[in-house]
Amino acid sequence: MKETAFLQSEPGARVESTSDLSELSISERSIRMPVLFFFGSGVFWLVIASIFYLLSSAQIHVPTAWWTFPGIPWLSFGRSHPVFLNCYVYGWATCSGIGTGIWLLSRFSAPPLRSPWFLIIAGVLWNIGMTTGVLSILAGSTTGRELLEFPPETAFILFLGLAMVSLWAVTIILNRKPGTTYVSQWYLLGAFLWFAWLYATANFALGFAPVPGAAQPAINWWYVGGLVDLWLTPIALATAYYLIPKLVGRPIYSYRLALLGFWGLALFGGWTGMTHLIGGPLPAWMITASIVAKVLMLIPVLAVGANFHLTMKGHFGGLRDNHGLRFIVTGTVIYTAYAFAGSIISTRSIAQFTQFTFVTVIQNQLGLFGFYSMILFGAVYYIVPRLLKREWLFHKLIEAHFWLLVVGLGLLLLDLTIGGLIQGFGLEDPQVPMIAVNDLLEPFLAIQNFTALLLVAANLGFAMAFTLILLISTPARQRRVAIEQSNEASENTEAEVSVA
Amino acid sequence: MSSTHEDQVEEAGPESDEQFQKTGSEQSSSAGRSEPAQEVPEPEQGPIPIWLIGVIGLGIFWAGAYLFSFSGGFKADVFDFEPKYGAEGGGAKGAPDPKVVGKALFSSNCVTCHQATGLGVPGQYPPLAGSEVELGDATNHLIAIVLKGLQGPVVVEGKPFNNAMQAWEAQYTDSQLAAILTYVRSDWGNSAPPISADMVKQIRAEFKDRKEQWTWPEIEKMPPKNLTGGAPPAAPAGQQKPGTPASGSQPPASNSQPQPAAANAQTTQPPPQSQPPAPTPAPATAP
Amino acid sequence: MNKINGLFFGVFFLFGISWLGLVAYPYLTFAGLRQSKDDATGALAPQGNPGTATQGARVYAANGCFYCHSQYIRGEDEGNDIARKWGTRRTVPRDYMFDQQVFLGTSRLGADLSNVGVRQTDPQWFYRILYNPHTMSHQVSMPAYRWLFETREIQGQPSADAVKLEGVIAPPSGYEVVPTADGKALVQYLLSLKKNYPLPEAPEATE
Repeated sequence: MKETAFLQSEPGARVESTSDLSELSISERSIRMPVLFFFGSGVFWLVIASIFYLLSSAQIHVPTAWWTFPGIPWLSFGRSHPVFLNCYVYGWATCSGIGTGIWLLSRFSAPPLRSPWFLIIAGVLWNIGMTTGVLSILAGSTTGRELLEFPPETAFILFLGLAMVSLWAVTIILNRKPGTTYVSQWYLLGAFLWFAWLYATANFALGFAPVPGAAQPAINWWYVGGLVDLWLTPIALATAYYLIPKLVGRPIYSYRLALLGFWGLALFGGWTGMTHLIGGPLPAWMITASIVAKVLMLIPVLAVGANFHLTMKGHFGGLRDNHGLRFIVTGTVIYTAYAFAGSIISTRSIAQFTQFTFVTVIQNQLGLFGFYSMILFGAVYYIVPRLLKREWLFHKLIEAHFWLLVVGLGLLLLDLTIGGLIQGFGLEDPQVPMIAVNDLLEPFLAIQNFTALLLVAANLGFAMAFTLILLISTPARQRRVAIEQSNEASENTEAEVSVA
Repeated sequence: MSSTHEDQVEEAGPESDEQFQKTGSEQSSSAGRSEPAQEVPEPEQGPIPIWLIGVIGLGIFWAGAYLFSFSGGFKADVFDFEPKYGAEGGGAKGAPDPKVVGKALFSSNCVTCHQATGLGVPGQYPPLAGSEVELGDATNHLIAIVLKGLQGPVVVEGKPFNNAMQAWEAQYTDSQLAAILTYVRSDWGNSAPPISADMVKQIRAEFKDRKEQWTWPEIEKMPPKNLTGGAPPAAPAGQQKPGTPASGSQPPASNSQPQPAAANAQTTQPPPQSQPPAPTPAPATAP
Repeated sequence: MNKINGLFFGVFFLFGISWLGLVAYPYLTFAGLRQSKDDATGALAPQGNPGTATQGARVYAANGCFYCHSQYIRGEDEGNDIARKWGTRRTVPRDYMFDQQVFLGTSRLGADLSNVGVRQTDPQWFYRILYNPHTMSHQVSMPAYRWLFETREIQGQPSADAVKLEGVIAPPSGYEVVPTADGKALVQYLLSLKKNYPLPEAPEATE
């Protein structure tokens, strides 16, 4: 039973042959290659990011240990850290997000692609950009701006790929048949439009025609705030809005809450960036506006959280069997908690103590590793078997992935929150010298190093599962799966008719 | 948007039923399908929970209050969240006590050698507490040393020192140096009249061509001058202040311009009290 | 009007407002900044950076120094940076008006560097710290930037900027450790980090 939980074919579909891909709808067939290409790229960059994450975690813990490669410039912390972050955000997160976005859009529209090559070229451009960008950072040729470290030439290549995908996505959504647009489509329209705009503006204003002075950090952090709130968040929410009702078999609880959640995000999401620069050399109103937007972001977050919760109410049992659902629901729960925490630490009185500390680090990591990645893992676990008509091997691996992630994140949360607060109070006390603050942090950095191991193991497990399903397919297994699938399909059909 | 919502409600009704039916009905063979079913039913019409409406109300109220209290009037040159005295922003804070300013400046640099206690390091760095150079009337010596530095053997409070003090004229402006010296002359039991930015300016101009540090014999040879001129340092240049604190019992010189110590009136030696007296009707100096 | 158009315009314009406020506004406002002139000394503030300092900023970026060091001082009401002697006043946009790369930073694993050029005026101090950060303490997260230096044979006289090292890390006798061009540029940049000149919009702290 567990094995079939991944696959919910279109109820009513007839499955005859097994490895025959003709049961994929035309639209699924057309986007199959691009989606798998983006997923594959995402997994590749996840592995690279994980390696550098482990390295950079070790390096701030014991910078002189031989296994942190001291003395080698291109592996030093100042380069391994941005490589990790950029590979994670622009490699794993963006590629898997684009892949999921493409797949989701294909569920709502007529055959979206005559030929898959347009999107695959976009993907290739993206990967070329990523590779040159990573090599540039390692060589020391960076822009010195957080999350915009790739040199302008690289950013241009990346933007070309992104523009191609965004153009396709926005056209698809705008050209759909008149009628209702589903919630996920709103978020995807927003995501693709906003990210292209953000990326173009930030790289132009900072890379090609740089503005000297304090406008730079303002634009930089506007971009980073938008990257998280207006690219990663909407992609993840679009995924959750589609897959939760699908996997639970119930419609979303409230249309109005969905509206509130979306428009709240659209209104406040672009303003939250300056909360990273509280006390900085910017007019007070800009920072205050950001704090207000960040706190008011709680409204759409709570709306979305309530919506999902009320949709799932009474059906949490599904989490036991269905891996995809488990990842996605965990992700949405983390979303509410992480957004809440984010709003709290943005207020000035708390920010005074948490600003330059590990509390901001764990906040970002919770959003990236917890909220976003959990949902996207769930999406990949759901989508890939459908496209390949194969089953995941080794369910234990997927269980291990989940639990390693959850335990690792939980430990990291405790560790960096406590450590960060200690650091913050130390920094704010003028009597405590910096050396003493560093000494206090040492055990927390050690735990963080250990937690990095757990998280990296989780990610590598995922990568292995993905590689295995790509490479291995056993016909006998497929036949059995397909038969069970069609049985379940007819059961579902009866169930849904009775619900309606 | 509300009209859109209305439309949605109407369309959602029949369509969502249709889509529910679609799942049961024959979707025909998936291979031949040209239009994929959405497969996900439309959202239902659940109401927004009351508590969330409460949160929204509270949020809007708080946001408005916060936004308008802490935005400094939405000006481009207000950076502090809480401007004092309700003035236009973080700019006008009232004339800060020069000794406080001087102490801050002293603590950022001079303490490295002369120590926060002003006692220096025996055998290495001379003390400033009770030092005759600090407190004496030869204020030109004192200012010259700070501007150009001092090297070689020197005896301070009976103890010999032989070190090098760097020149500080490039690091600090006249008003900053005046604040530092005023502070030094008033702490650790020292009690000597304040130094003004004008005095520093005079000495800076007098020795502007000199590049090397002084040696003590050179200083001794310099005829001692008890400089006068200008009011004691108040705030750094260019700042709007309610008024410069005057020295001694002299009536304050014309001090409505935003420049410190630009007074033309030659004030005589101020009485040996450390506080810049504030019997002027100017608003209170910052605490 | 088609609902999808409503969606598109909403998405476009709501975001456009934030673009106006956080991109266009600072761009336009800070583009018009001018130096301030001290009436007492005629000094202009801030001063532009000399060439080596600008090169040094690139070395600073390349080595990711800004991931652990911040470069701005918060006002008295917002933090205790001034009490910590990291500066005498808060930093304002004019402080950065000549910087091609502004490294405000968001992490203080290491000290704030806005005024490090005021606190430390001796290049030797910087060279020592960069070569071996553990002179500060055994438990610092800062890596040793040995590639900013080279160890070479002493030719005749020791070089003027040879780093004075003692103990285990000192070079073998007959050799000296000298900063490379990158190392020198970086230190010139760090020495130029001073924000203690007065500005009218940022009064000195009064605590």
